[in-house]
Formats: sequence, C-alpha cells, structure tokens
Amino acid sequence: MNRTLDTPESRPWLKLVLVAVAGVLVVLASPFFGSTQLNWANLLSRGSELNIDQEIFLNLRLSRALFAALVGGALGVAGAVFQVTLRNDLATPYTLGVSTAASLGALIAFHLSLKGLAVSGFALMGGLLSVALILAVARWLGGGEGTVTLLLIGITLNLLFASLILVLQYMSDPHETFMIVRWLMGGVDVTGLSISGWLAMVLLPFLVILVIRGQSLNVLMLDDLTARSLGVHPDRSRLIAIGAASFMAAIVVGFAGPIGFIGLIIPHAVRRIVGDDHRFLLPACFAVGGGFLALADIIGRLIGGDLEIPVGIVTALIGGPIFLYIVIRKARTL
Amino acid sequence: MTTPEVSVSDLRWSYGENEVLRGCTFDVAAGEFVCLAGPNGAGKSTLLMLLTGCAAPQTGAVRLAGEKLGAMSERNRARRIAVVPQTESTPPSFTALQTVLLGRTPWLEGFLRFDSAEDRAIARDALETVGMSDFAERPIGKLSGGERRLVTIARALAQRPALLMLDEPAASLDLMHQQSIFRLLRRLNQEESLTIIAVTHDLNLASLYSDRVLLLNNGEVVGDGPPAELLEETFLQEVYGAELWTHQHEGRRYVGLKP
Repeated sequence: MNRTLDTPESRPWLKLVLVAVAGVLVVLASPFFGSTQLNWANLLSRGSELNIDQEIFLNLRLSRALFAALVGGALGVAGAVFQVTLRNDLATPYTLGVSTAASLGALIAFHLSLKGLAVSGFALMGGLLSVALILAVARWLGGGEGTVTLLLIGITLNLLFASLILVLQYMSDPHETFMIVRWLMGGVDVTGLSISGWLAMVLLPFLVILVIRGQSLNVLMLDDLTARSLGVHPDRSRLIAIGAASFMAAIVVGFAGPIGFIGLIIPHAVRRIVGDDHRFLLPACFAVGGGFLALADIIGRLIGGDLEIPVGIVTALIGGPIFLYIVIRKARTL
Repeated sequence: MTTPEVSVSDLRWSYGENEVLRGCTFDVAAGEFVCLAGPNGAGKSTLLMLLTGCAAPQTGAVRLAGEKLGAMSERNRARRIAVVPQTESTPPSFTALQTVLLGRTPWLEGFLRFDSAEDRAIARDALETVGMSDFAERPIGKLSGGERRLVTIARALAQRPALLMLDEPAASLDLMHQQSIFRLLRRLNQEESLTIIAVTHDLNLASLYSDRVLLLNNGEVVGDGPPAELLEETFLQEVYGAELWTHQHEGRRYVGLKP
C-alpha cells in the first residue's frame, strides 16, 4: 500500500504550499479592486512609459498589496514566535509593547515636525528600544521561570508607552492630533514598488533565522528541563527568537503604524490548519498574515468608497469576531 | 577497571542558605539499573537535575564515561543522556509520532533540521519498543496517562541514549501500567544494555526490577546496595521516620506500612 502522499509527515508541506498560493493570489488580485475602474486596453498596451492605468495598477495598487502582504506576514510570524516562546496565547507584538513603543517613536517624530522616512526611523528606534528593554529583562531574569514575568513586564511597558502617547496627544494642536490618530489606525498606502523591495530585504534575514530555528521552537513548547535534555538551550533559544521577532515587528510598525489583531489571530488560525511544527508554521503564518492584510486592505478600499477605511480598523473589525469564534469553538470542543 | 558510566564526586548544591545536597559521591557502572529513593526533600530532584546536566553543580562534578558533563556541548550531551520528566508538557495536538520525533532533535542535521526517513524509522521503532505503534497518529491529548508516559519514554529512546534517566516513571499510574513500564525498563536494561537511573518512591518496584538502590536523606547518600540487602526494617524506619515492616519472599524484600 502506497501511503507516502497522505502520511502526516508530508501533509504540512501540502498545506504550506496551499496557503502560500492563496496568499499570492490575494496579492495578485488586489490591484483589480479600487475606486477607479481600470481600462483593460490601456492596462495591456505597450509603451515606453507607463500610462495612467498601468501607473495605478503597478505603483499604487500592486505596490500597496505587496507592502500590506509583507507587513501582515511579518506581524503574523512575530505573533507566532511570541506565543511559543512565552508559552502564552496572548503574547503578541502588541501585548509586549513593541507596537506601542514604535508608535510612540513615530508620534515623537510628528511632534518634532519630521516627515516621511524620519517618522519610520523614529518608530523603528522606539520599537527597538522596547525590544532592548524586553531582552535586557529576559537576560537579567535568566532562569526559565521568567516567561509570565516577561509577559507582565511587556503588558506594563505597553500601558506606559500608551499613556506617553496620550500625553503627546494632549500637548498637540488639533492638526497634529489628527495626524496622530490617523497614524495609530495603521496604513499601507505606499507609492512605488521600491519600498516593498527594501522592506522584503530587511525582513528576510529575520524570517530565515526564525525558520532555521523552527525545531528549537518546537522543543520550547515542552518544559525547559525537557528542552535542555533534548539539547536545546531554552533561554538562549528564546532570546534569539524574541529578538528576531521583535525586530520584524518594530520594522513593520515603523513603516505601517500599529496594525492589531494579526499577531493574535493569524498564528491561532494557522496552527489549526498547518499544525504546531514551526518549520512549517512560521512560513505559513507569513503567507496567511500577508494574505489577510492584503485582503483587509482591499475591503477597506471597497467599503469606504472614496474614503478609504484605514487597514488597521479593518483588521480589528474582521479579526475581532473571527478570533472570538475561534476561541469559543476551541473552548466548546475541549 | 572500566570507566564507570556515571561518576559523581562530592556534589553539593544549596538554594541560598538551604543546603540541599551535602556532598554526594557514587558511581554507576555501564549497564546498571539504579533506583534513587529517599524521603521528600532528600534532594532527589536536585540530584537528578545535576545528573542530567540540565544544571551545573555548584561544587563537585558529574562525569559521563570520564567526561565532565559541563564540558560537553548540549547537543552531544543530549545524544547520550535522555530524560523522562515526571510530568509531560507535550502540546495535546501533537501526535504520538510527532512527540517521539522531538527526541531526534539532537541528531537532526542540515540547514532546516528536517527529520529524515531514518529519523522517522527510529521514531517508529521507539514506539514499537514501548508497544505504542498503533497509537502513532493519535494526538497526545487523547491518550491516557499511562499511554502518554510510554510515548514520553519512546521519545527518550529516540534520542538513542547510553543513559536513560526517569523521574518517578510510575507515579500516579495503575498497577498494570506500573508493571508494564518497569518491565519495559528492565527489558531495555538487559537486552539493550541501557544504563538506567530512575527516581522512585516505590521501594517495592525498586526491589522487583532494579540492581541497586541509592537511598538519599538530607542531601547525603545514606544507603547504597542491592535492594535485597539495603531494604532493611530498622534502617528504613530511621530514614523515613515511618513505622513499617519488610518481608522477604523468593530472595526479594518488600516494604509495607504498619497501620
């Protein structure tokens, strides 16, 4: 009897390929949606320069779909890594304060009347500062019992950064306040493909590191003593994984603002599809997280009409109910 | 004289003021089946932790075949020592086979550390050895406590260790599972010449299946010998502070509590 195709060992590959194809399809479909109807003849015509329809298709819509996919993918992976390393379903870039600290950085840049890349740079610095704080605490705690403490510290830092954001808002004039509020809704409205290229190049090394360490993440699902007895140093593995995931989260928040729920729901959903093997789970989270954010962006552009609904609002509006459904179903089947 | 499999010299450990181990020295020869017993708080768990190399001793040393545990790489150590903890923490969604495959972690090679056909064959073999082949695709969460314990032992066997350490392998299991697990350990010990150190509270299991009992009290080895000699009434009463009797039957000693 030939059962090589349906053995559980080979199934994760198939599922990973399926979700990857689904993610790519969403990104490729995305440019066909939007408030402006594109002219097919123009789109397919060839000229030395891009015509307006091609310009919209490539530099506005495809670029933002790609950008959304990278941001969503990175947040999905970061969430999965935080959840396994801290052994807590609630651990995400959000709950650990990384997203909020990055937002605080961006808002300080606004306050200093900085624009463009400088804002992203400040956000990145804020995010990395919180990463450094978390890593310093993790290192200081040393022993494996620190995961709950680490989560509590992350939550506390998150609240602290959030109140600093409120302070900034309170001190700002109405125009600045509006910019702050808009930024906090998250957005993927970028122009041009090059920014996605850069983002992909920056994110890729961290994704590779995490996938290579997938088996040690699998072992971290067990208790620390067992992990050690299997040759995995739990503290060191946690440190590397949390570090890489935090970098990914801080980088994308710096570019796109805080986008919630992806780090929370995507790993949950993907675990149910692909299983708990992180060598498959992490790439799958990237694909599904990316596809989900690209889809949320399409929805945001469609339901709002001329007024685009910021993607961060859409993810929360779709993500909330989905997450509730998953949690309730899980609780009922136990 | 051959190098002992495990050599423990003057092992000390304290948590702050509290001295848990006060200088333990003993050897375990290759192929021995040793049970580590003693009252609660005697230092058994700490000793086991140090023996596995999962923590470094504050003073003294543990050597495996002459090599200090602290000087070995984690990977190398994990290829030679396997540990079965008292409680399993495997995610309930993992199948028995996936769980056992985790035991191959220290042997995985290559960029992505994917398990090879050989790794899967070894894992299936380990499941076969513990008699759990039929449960290979069953999620851990759907197995009984005894079945889970067997899968955890299979995971340890998949590490292909020279030394197997177990923390209370029969705790909270029914008599049938206690017997099947200790028979399995005895078989592995005799047929595969696996060196086994098991922490156990059950002196009768130690008497039935092990070569030697190490009795720990107040952080010191207070008794060391074959169970038939060591498990003596007044001695045990003194160590445990409990009123008990021992009974000899077909060359073995059994221990029971007085009402």
